Amino acid sequence: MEEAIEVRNLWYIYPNGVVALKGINLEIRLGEKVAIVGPNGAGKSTLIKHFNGLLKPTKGVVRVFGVDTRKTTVATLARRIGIVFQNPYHQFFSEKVWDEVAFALKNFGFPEETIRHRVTKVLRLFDLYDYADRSPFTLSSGEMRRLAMASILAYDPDIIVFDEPTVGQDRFHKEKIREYIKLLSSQGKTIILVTHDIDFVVEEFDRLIVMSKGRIIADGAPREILYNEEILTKASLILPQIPRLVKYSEIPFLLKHKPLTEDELLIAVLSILRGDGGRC
Amino acid sequence: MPIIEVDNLTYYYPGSSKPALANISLNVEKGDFLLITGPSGSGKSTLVRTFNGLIPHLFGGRFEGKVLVKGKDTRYCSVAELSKTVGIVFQDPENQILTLSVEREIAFGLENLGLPREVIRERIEKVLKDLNIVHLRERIPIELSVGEQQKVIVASIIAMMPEVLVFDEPTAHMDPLSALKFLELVHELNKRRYTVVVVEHRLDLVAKYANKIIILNNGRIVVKGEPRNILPSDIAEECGVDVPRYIRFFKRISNLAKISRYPISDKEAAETLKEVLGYGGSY
Amino acid sequence: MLSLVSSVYEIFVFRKKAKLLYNIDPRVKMVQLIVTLIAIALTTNLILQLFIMAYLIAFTVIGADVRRILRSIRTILKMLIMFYIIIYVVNAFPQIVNLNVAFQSLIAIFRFFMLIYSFSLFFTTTQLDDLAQSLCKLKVPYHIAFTLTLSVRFIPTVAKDFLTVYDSQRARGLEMEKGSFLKRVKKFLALLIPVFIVSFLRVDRIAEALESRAFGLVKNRTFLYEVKVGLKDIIFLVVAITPLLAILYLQYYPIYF
Repeated sequence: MEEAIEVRNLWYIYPNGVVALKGINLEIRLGEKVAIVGPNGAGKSTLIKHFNGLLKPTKGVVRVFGVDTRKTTVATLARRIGIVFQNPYHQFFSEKVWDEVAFALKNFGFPEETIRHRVTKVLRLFDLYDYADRSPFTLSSGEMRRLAMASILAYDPDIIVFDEPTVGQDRFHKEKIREYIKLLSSQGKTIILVTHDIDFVVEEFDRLIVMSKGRIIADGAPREILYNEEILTKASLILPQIPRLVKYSEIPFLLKHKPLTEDELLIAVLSILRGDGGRC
Repeated sequence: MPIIEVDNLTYYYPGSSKPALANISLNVEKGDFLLITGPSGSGKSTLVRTFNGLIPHLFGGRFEGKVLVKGKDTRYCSVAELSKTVGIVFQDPENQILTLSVEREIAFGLENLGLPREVIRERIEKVLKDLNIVHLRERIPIELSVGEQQKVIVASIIAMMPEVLVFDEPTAHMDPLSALKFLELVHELNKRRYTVVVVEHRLDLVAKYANKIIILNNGRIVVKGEPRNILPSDIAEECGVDVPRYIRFFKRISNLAKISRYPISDKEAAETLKEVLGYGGSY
Repeated sequence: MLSLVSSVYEIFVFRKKAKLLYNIDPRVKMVQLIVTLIAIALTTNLILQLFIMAYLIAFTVIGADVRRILRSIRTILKMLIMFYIIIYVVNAFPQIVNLNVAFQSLIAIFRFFMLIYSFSLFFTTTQLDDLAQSLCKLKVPYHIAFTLTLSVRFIPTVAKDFLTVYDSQRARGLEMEKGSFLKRVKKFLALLIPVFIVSFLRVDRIAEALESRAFGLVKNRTFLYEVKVGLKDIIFLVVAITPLLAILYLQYYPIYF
């Protein structure tokens, strides 16, 4: 698989002197589903802003599809890597939902016919087609988030980054976001999710990157990392709910199998109850 | 007498034909830890704003029924008056920080109350010590972390010595560890005799501290009672409340193994699990 | 963009220090600032302007945080060099080299620099709450004086919002550098509108916070730190104003050496 993003020894220092990133090394391949977790201030948002060139490295290099981000423009990079930011209010300015979705397409110079086609398609996908002529500001908060996603997906980037999509969301909306991510991944998109909601990344992600104080302190399979209390504490995170339960129970079989979700716990528990689970 | 009484409250925001709250009746007793939860848009934030008079005074709209705080009808008391009894900590610390130093932030409410300088000074010292933030005294609040900011806000509210503390999704912008610590602090405050009302989604972190829970949906109270009875109920699940995963798990195996008492904390859940698997829990 | 916002913030924000200017009554400092501004505006003689600069430096050294001011200077300097070039080019056109214009532009920039410097000196050594209180003592209603503190308090927040909006729109392909003047104005709306909306939404939340902290409950609210004009302040006023008045005098009644 091709390398979509390559980060080598990335350091970033903000103008006020804060060293936000301290020697980040990272590779993300096409089609991967990666979650970047860590506390507020770890550098997650700073890191993803390097992916589309919003920030340029103080030291080190970031390459997206082989291109050094310092040698190209944000618009060029944004064409292939879309970032859905946390607060929809930080981007809405159009009079109609339609225009909001068409905005990026217009910026990238798509022809009128293509724009019409793409906007229609993506509005239908996100159940917003009926709102096409309404003002974005009349939508509910869940609908606004969908619109923000739609406005990025309209131009079909290869890589999609979500910056804290679940903050303040209730269970229903979190599920919807999870579904969209699943759908996008099944279409071959590379997904990068930045969050501190550790329970959200328990399912769906094959790779977890843990950041703390400007460094990557873990990068690998969720199952190992999410049961590693030492790493999680260093990153000011807590165990997700099911691993927490398993840890407190101290049951060896469960600790060995490290279930992450209710389903996995159920399978493990049934196996113990059937007697093939070693009840020492 | 309950410290807060809501009597058949129905409320419409200005210009709205659909009520944000419909026929709400509830009592908050002194010393309660009331947890309010429900899906987005169910009216949770609206409800708590009626406790200190922000609704109806700041927001206007159509207000039917009544809300009594320590026996006084909120329609006839100003928000400033009610703030002596009910303090609210909102979601986003950025919008609650009004000054440029922590010390002055804490002093702000007290200055507004017109208290004498010595009293203000005393209370600032006490609250800085109580919340372990003496080292933050001279700091500029907007330069602190979210967790620290919320602590400063809590300090500013407690300094006014209200009897009831209301928290409207206080951990929304916090990472899990900060959220855990903050909710522990809220529990501490409850133990110290503050009546506490918390609006939260993160039930796995806070349900164990509450003695009462209310689930709202579409502006109505769907169910209320003790967390232990309410959270495992089908209604909670139907409303889309973020029921702790161990409760959801035990419900699923409830036809295989008898669950006599549903747990509402991680420790209790672990004990229940051990029992189910025959490891003999001590619970 | 980011560094510009960050440096402007640093130039103006107040941090407590145990030096002279921090302990002088804000009203006295306001008078000093106003007279300084008048002096800067009215003097046309370069030597007198250098005197004003020396005056500002003297007060910085004895009364303020020198390191902080030096840092702010470094950031203003870059901005000023850019302005200088613009002013020079605009006024020298169509000539490329014009010594007279070069000199005049230098004076103009110098004046601008001293202006910013004076404001910076004032704001970094003055607690805004104290300033608001002094205004109240001058019979300005509290809620109006408080608006001043509140606005300054929210400048970094609005700046942060602006930067976030800028990032969001660039991430959707918005390029501010391209296009005709008219197109760029339209593009600017994509930046301005979200910032306005976010700010308006904030207003409700801030109002809630203010009300919940008993704002406006009592006619005579207490002020924790009382702002009083004492003997120290009077002496300071005299010492501070005299050199400025002397400079203004020399401007209109010059002594020929």
